[in-house]
Amino acid sequence: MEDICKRKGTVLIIRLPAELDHPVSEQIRLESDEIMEEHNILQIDFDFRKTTFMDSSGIGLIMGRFRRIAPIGGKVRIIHAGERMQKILAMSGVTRVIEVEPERGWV
Amino acid sequence: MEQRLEPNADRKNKMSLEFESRACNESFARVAVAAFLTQLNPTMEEVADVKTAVSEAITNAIIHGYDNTVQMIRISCELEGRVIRVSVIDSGKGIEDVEKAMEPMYTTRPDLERSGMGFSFMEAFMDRLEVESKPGCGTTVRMEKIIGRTSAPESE
Repeated sequence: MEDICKRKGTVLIIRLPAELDHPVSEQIRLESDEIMEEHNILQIDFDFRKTTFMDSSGIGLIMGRFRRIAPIGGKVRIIHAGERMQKILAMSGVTRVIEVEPERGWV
Repeated sequence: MEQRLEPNADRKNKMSLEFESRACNESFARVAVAAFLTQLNPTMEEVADVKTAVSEAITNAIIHGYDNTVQMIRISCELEGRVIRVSVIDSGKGIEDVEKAMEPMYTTRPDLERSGMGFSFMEAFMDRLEVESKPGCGTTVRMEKIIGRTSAPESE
């Protein structure tokens, strides 16, 4: 589980693992909340480059972080999301409030 | 000379699986169903769809059905022709109002940051979804998906 959450200044980078399901989401939620309590975080990047599986637990994780950071003027970004991940993010409404960085070169 | 049967003609197969309602069993269970499904020669997309739907049903059983206590979950799986049927069965607390539970974004556990999208995902990724539940008597989620409706890769 090491190295999933990494902080650079006020940016929290969450490098999501290959499978983002219920137990993994729970673990990341606790870990990222701890960092957000200790540090002034103004941006969260969800990095999907390794992720090929996500269920609605992942949606809960992303929206939960968004609800936490939005009131303090922070933002959430989704980066390196492949085609299926983008589809799931879109159908669950996440992309209505969180911007998905356009990805060049993924297959 | 060598006559081969039409790959999906009237093939039938069944399996069932029983495991403890621990979150760490979720990936094992969805992968087991996916492995069983490979007999129908599904696309990657179809495998991912079934895995996602199964994952949702199991998560529901663990979090809601059993309130995170350790009890047994049963999955029964059936292949018939091009169809996979999966049932996820728990004997947990059951659902008071199934219709309400199936509404998108409705969750009884916002404290756990549940998105309320579980049933919506099952509906979106499978072709049929049926939920049978009674308070105190557990929940059975039955799902069905037709495999190979689009661009079925033929194994010649």
